[in-house]
Amino acid sequence: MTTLEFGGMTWIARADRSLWQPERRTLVIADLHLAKSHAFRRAGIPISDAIERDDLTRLNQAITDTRASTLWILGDLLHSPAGLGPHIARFLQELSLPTTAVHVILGNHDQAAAKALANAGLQTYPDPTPWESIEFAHFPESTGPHRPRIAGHMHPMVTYRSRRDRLRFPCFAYIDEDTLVLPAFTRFSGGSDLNPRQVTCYPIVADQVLSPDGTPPTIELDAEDSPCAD
Amino acid sequence: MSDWTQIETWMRSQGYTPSDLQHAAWNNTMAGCHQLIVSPTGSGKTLAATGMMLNQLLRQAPAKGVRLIYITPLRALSRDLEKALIAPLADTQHRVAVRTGDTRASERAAIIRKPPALLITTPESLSQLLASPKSVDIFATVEQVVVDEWHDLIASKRGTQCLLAIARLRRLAPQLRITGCSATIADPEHALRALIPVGCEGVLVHPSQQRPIQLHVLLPADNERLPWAGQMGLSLLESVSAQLRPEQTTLIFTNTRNQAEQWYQALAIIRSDLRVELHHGSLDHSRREVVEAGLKEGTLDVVVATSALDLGVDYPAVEAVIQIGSPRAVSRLIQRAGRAKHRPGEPLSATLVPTHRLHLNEYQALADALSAHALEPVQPAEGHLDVLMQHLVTLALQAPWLPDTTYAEITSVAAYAELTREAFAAVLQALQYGSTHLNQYPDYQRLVVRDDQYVQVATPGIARRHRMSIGTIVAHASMRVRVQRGAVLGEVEESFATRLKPGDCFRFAGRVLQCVRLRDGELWVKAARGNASEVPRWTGGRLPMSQTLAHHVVERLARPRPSAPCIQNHQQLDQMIQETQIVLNRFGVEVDSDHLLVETFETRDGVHCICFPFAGWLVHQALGPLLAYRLSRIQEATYTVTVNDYGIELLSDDPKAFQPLQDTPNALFSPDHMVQDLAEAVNLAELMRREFRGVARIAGLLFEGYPHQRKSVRMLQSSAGILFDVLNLYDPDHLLLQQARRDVFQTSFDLPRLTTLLERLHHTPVRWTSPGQPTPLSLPLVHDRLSTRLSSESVVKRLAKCLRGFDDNP
Repeated sequence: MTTLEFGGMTWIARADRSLWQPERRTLVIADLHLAKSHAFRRAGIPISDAIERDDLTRLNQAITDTRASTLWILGDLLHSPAGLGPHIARFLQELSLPTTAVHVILGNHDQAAAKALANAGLQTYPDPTPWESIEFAHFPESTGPHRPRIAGHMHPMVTYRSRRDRLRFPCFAYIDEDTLVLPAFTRFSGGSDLNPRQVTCYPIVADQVLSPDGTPPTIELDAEDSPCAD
Repeated sequence: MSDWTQIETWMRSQGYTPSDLQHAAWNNTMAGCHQLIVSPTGSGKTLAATGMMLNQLLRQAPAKGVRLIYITPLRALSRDLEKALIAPLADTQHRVAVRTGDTRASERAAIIRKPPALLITTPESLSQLLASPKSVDIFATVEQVVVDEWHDLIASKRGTQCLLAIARLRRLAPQLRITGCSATIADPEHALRALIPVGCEGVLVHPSQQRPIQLHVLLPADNERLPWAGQMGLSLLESVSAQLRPEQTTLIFTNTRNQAEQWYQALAIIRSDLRVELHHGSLDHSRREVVEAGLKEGTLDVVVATSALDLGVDYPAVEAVIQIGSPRAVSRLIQRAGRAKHRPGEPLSATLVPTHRLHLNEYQALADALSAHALEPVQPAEGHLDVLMQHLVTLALQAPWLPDTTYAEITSVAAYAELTREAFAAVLQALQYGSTHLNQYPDYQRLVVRDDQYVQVATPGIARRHRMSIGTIVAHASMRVRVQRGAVLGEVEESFATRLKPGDCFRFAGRVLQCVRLRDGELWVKAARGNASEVPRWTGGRLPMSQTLAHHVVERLARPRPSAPCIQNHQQLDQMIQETQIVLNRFGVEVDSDHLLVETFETRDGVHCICFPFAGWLVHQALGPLLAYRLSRIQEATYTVTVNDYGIELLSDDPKAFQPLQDTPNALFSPDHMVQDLAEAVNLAELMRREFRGVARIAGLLFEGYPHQRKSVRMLQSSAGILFDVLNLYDPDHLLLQQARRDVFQTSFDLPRLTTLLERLHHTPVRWTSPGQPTPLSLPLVHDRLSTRLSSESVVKRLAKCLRGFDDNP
């Protein structure tokens, strides 16, 4: 867990791959890719469905931890637009939370499912959607000037190399000064490799979000939220 | 005696005389025997293997169906084979066809529609043919299957795939007999049994006599010029250059692609009067084919090559073979020497170029082994579960199958003879439900068992993707190198490519190239001027020293004596080795097979401890970390492990780090708990993760994608690393993870050899020396630093080190 300044607000990057804005009690995630394992299984590739259950458990835990009033999902909530079967409905049901409003930006994998999402009680929004002084989006790239943007889609991963070692972590990344990209929330995903010399990255290492120089955060804003010491 | 008039008449018309070997092989085929023909290249084994069928065909009018299938592991050779087999049938209506990965779709369709009498194919393409329902008819008529280069296939997954395909062919055509062809190998009986069906008899066909071999060791004018360490060998560049003459074609073998690039570069500069070319496995197909054609026609003067040229036809135009460094195995030297022109009655010959002084002793050892006909034994592959999974889906694409009959078919293959009914059921279950843990994979589909118990493929989509991904060849993750607005030059490893920044220069395909950018999974380059020191390294390229050779090396170091006479300049060689021996003695280096030699000394880096088991780096790669782990359990310290073919270096900054080795050396080499300790000592999960890419690809978990791929396929793409992590997390005893673990123990460690070694070292007394500085024997280890440290540090600590590295090397 570490703090980020973005769009004139202070955010907390959490090791569970979510981003938390305490004043607005808003939790933001991207790229949940629900039912991805299902698509693989239908193609004969054995991927356990436990992966989605774990992702959802982690999401619920984040909501419980933060007592968020709003959850924003920045696109690619679903992996595959095809086959909106009962397995998806089950997941979406788990996402309908009594105390938290769920807002979904429609990503490239979601378009065909927009109606199903609405039916499940989720509010859907176009890409990008203004929020406070910034905007939420699925795609990080934009043409022309824009508000400070928090986006997903990229699944940013940062790779550190030395002569003897190579390490790769999911990360929060400032791909430019106006764009912050979140890691994919699902753990069943690859990603785009970023060079830490070119992009400011906050890697998620073990149970911590580290600062770009690789050090653990020293200042904790909220003692209640502090992670267990390693 | 059979009547061989037709084929003999044709052979005589070409100026060939049928040999005893050929007659023996023909008679065996005629008598319906399975056989293995063991002979060097150039002994006419293609005709030996196929002559009987050719003779039949020459007498008969064409009939429907394939009569003979010729399986070659070398796609590049298929066209040459086609020419060789078409020639005798030129005046008949019989057809010969080639089906490989390069065959166009229209030709593929034609093979099914109008089957040729003779079909030349690769193991992968044969499996692809079997995946078609129509193959049942076209293969029902097969009388003989020839497996070429069996020595190359025998230990590999390709070999296993090939045997499974033959087992299916035998179901379709029970009358068929198998003929294997192999280069000279140590235990042909073993190789024969691995080839033929369980419970069947087979015959070995040997040539009447072995071809002798003659070696020449290139020696520098004075011994001082030969270094004590180093792998590149360029110090003898001028001497090698003096061997090259425009009137004869010379083939220069190196051990790594990296070394080939460097030698090519050097020779191209100093011998601009010659036509020098480069050949290795990472160069683009078209370039390699040009070089191969040049070798055949004799239009090239010098070709610098790697083991990619070890197999296949001989090149009659090649008149001299040069080996840089050690060939690392006796059989490899024979293979390489065998690439050159054959003059009847003349021995094979090769020139050996040492890259460091200890190679001289290795050459003596090679000569000893050759004189004793001691070749490396081959270890046939055991039934791989990933290959079996792929094959079972392939079979279901041919026709729905019953588990009982298919089980019988699979276990008729020697590699799967031990497969229990339960293990087979578990594989079927994994194909049906994703795993033996049935509840984790809802809606899984691949194979389905129908109500009548027949097994079939679940959906057309699965069938289509399976057909696209049949095969067992898995390349390292690589990137194509493309010249801007130009051709593809070949491939480099992804890890090398991604390290390059635009503007960086490196040498590849014999050219100096500048990185422009990485795009669409390709490395775009442009020609650059000047020099570049970077040469890509390929991880697959290192060959360990064979046990057979290692044994003779120890013998040589233990008891210096005159070289075997098959080394032409043995007197000079012996004299130089004597000088080397004097230096070794001065350092107190005493090698013998009754002791384990251990050297310790201190340098600025810390305390070095070097053991010399002489077991080849593959085994040392496991033994080193194992030793370090066991030491660290007694004495808390950090150990850096480096290995080569001769020994293991352990380095520590703690002066007491090696006390346990002094106190209880034999306990450290105990074979007890070897596997558990090894799993702790090395990062087993990481090694399995690496090996899993191949397993996942073969078992059909990984789609490499294909041209004009549709979105629905892209949705299914994932990296092997992620698949591994997910399986490892949720289903850690999945069959495919078990296979990956077995592959690690086989290919990364050579577990059987490690076991034997530990059993020996456990009882071997240690001979300690403290020379005060590295001895000539340990110098290559200290010098090369080929291996990296196996880290037990936390990932956070490792990251901190990586980031510190940024400052050192901006």
